[in-house]
Amino acid sequence: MTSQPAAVSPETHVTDSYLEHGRGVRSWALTLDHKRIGIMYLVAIGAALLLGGVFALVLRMNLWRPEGGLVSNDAYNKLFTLHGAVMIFLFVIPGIPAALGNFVVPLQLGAKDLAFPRVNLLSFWLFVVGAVLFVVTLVVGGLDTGWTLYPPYSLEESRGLGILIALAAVFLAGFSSILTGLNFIATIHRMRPPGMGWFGLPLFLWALYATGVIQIIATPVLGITAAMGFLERIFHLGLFMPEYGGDPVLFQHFFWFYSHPAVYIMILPAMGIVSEVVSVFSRKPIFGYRFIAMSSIAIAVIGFLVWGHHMFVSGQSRWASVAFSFLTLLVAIPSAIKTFNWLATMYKGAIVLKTPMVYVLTFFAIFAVGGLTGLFLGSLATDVPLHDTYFVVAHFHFVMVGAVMTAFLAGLHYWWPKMTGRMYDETVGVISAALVFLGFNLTFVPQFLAGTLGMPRRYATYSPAFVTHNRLSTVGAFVLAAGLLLALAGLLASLRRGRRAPANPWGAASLEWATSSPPSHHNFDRTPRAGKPYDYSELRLVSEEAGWVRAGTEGR
Amino acid sequence: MGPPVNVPELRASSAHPAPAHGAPHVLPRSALLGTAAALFALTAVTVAAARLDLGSASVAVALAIATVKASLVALFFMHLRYEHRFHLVVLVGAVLFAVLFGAFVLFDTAQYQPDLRARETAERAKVR
Amino acid sequence: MATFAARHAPEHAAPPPGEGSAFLAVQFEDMGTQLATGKLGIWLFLASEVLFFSGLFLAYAVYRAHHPELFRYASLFLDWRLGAANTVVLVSSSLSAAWSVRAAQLGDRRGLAISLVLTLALAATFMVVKYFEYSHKLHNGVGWGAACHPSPEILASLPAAARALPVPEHLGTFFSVYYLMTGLHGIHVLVGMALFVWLLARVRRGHFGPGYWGPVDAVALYWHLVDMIWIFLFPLFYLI
Repeated sequence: MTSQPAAVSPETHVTDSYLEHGRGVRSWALTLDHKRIGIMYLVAIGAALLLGGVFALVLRMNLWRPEGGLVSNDAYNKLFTLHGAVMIFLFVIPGIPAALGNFVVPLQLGAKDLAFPRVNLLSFWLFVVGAVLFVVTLVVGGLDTGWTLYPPYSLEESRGLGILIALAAVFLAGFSSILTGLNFIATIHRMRPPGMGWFGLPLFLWALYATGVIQIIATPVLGITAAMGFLERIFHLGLFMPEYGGDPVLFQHFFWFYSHPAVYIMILPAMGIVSEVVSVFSRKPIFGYRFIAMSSIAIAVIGFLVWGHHMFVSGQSRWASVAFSFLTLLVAIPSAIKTFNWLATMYKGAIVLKTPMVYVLTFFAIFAVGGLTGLFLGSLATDVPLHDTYFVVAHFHFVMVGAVMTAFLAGLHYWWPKMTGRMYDETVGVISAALVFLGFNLTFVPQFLAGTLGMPRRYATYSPAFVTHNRLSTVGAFVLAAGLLLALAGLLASLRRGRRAPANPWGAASLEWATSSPPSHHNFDRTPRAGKPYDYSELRLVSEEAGWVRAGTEGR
Repeated sequence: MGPPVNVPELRASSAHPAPAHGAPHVLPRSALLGTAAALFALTAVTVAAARLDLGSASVAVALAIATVKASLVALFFMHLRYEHRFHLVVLVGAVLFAVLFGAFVLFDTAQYQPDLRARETAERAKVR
Repeated sequence: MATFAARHAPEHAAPPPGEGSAFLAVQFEDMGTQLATGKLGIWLFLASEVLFFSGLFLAYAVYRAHHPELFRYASLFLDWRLGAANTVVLVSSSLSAAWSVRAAQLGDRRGLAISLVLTLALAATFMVVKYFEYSHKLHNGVGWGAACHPSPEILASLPAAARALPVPEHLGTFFSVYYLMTGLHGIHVLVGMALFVWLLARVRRGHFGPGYWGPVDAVALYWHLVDMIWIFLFPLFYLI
């Protein structure tokens, strides 16, 4: 008997969608449905992006003039601190796993839900409380330490309550992240459908599995660090504060043991999305599947060996610095392997330039630059003059915004029909992708140049030598914002005016496309049998409205 | 909550080699009591070892005995000896990452702590 | 949804087929998968707990490495007999927790209830001993960090060799690490006690048996980890 995923009628109107299954605030707030939790996360994370983005625009406006003046210098410090904290803890780290992964993971496994739905709900509410606490820091006078919260400055008495609230927020958001990773690993490990061995998984799931390993191993160290900082501040324990006998560099070791692997929590899911999209929109199986899968695990593991590259000028010993520098160069290798495999997938493929693919193409360009500039920072000798300059700021925005956020937008557009049952407008999608790409580069390329010329980061004012760089960057920030707002507007408009989506609008072969758009409450009528996730040979396009179906099922 | 899926041909699969339904591994009474006895004995051993003057080896000895005790708890009380090897991988993996963390940090602090102490001493000398 | 007790006559020793399926969650194909997945879930959580405590063990290691004589001196403030007694108490509670899993698997409802109550009682004993240890120290000025000023009474109770030495400057650092580690461990004991109370409530409603004992196993595994952490804390603070 040939194995085929469950046949789905191309008829597009769904009567018992998960969106209509149960009404009212309580049915959403206490839902155990991974799809609804994913949507709630999407809204919360979108709000965090908007908030962090507003902070960014205020910062960039203040930087229009070398002498600043739009806000006080003190307010500027508080703004960049919260911009960093909100974007990192509430957008980039949870973003793809929580908003997209929660929705997609059970569907790609042909399952009815994640392994632990109640843990999933708990994870969401922990995130919300953490997010609220970050916002509360604004109200109690703010925090001006930078998102890295280094003692001794951050734990001094004169810092006020903001640091305590921020540490509590970090602790709760961290716990949320751990539970998400735990849920994904258990689900992917034990709930695969018949016929789906480890090397039959879609690469998005390999990516989330590797991400889950990092979430479980690294995040608890952030948690204990936050707890230690919290108690140090109140009880003067003498662990991090030199005046009580403590060691502030120890805090940095603890902090970066999490925060470096955290950047792989950010990028691995993004890479997973890229693997999905590049294959579907090249109409070719992914090249080097096993290499891409294994490189995700390699990045997760090697990522734990390099945190000291954030501490080259902190007082860390020379030998430790040399070791960390060498190991940092190693982590570039698996990322490069992925990039070459993606490009090889596109080679002689039939490229379809829909919005997700446009974002992925921009990802390649931006990720290449972001990754390569990481080598300058990972090399000990070149890092010393570049440390704490705008070169660092540009590098991490290239990878966190240019790569991760771009991939997030690619995934959001890719799975939007599945999540909402609506097609967004392609023209608006492509134009916003172009604006985002243009605005992004205009914002951050001048920052690389300013950094190499010596402009320090976290400064409210700067030398007039950098005026041009800063003004270009500020203009770019507004273009980027416009692109993002246009993308948001296009997606929201589709909810009312978008064409109803077929089950499989893109002709993809993974299991989430074998059920209706949007899915019903329990996802599948019966557990589907897994095929090969990148084998498009049997898929045929019926029409734009009806989408793609498996050959032999058109008549049903 | 919908009805559970109950399709017999889907139950057995390489994706979840779970223990056969109705036949979980039950820890024998002898294993339970034997493990407890060993743990009590090792507690006595570690107390006795501490009374001996082992100098700088006392930390290593204490940690070694504690590791043996913890291994007994993990292998027997926590069933790791009888279960999917992956659970052991999870525990050992976590410990390995923790050791890695500790090793790097201890290495680094060992390098720069003497400089801090020297400075502390110099400053105290200046005050006097 | 019918309860376990209502669906199956409690006097049956052998489980009827399909028993326990009242607790089969909708996302799982069968109880076997549910059990295996639940176990993996709790092990992943325990891995995160290992890393959570690892930060504190590292803080201990760093400060001990650079102040070894301070740690040897300060450990004399701790009564090794109380520590050893608490070790025996916790090991015994691990035994009773492991016993409770066995009882659930065999359908021995009485044994299950007794072993859970015993575990709870031993955990409470541990906390009582801890309370006495903490209050004795705090009443004698042995606090954490800068608030560590040992009273003459407690100094007089030290062994002769220690009495002869001056009180070290950073004594508070040892006690910061001590209170932090044993305190966090104590919080985990309290959480464990709450979990055992929850299990006992479910045992009263007849939820567990050979077809369904996952939660008993999960709480027991958590409890064994709490025991393992103490197995390291005891020698590190009390003995060396």
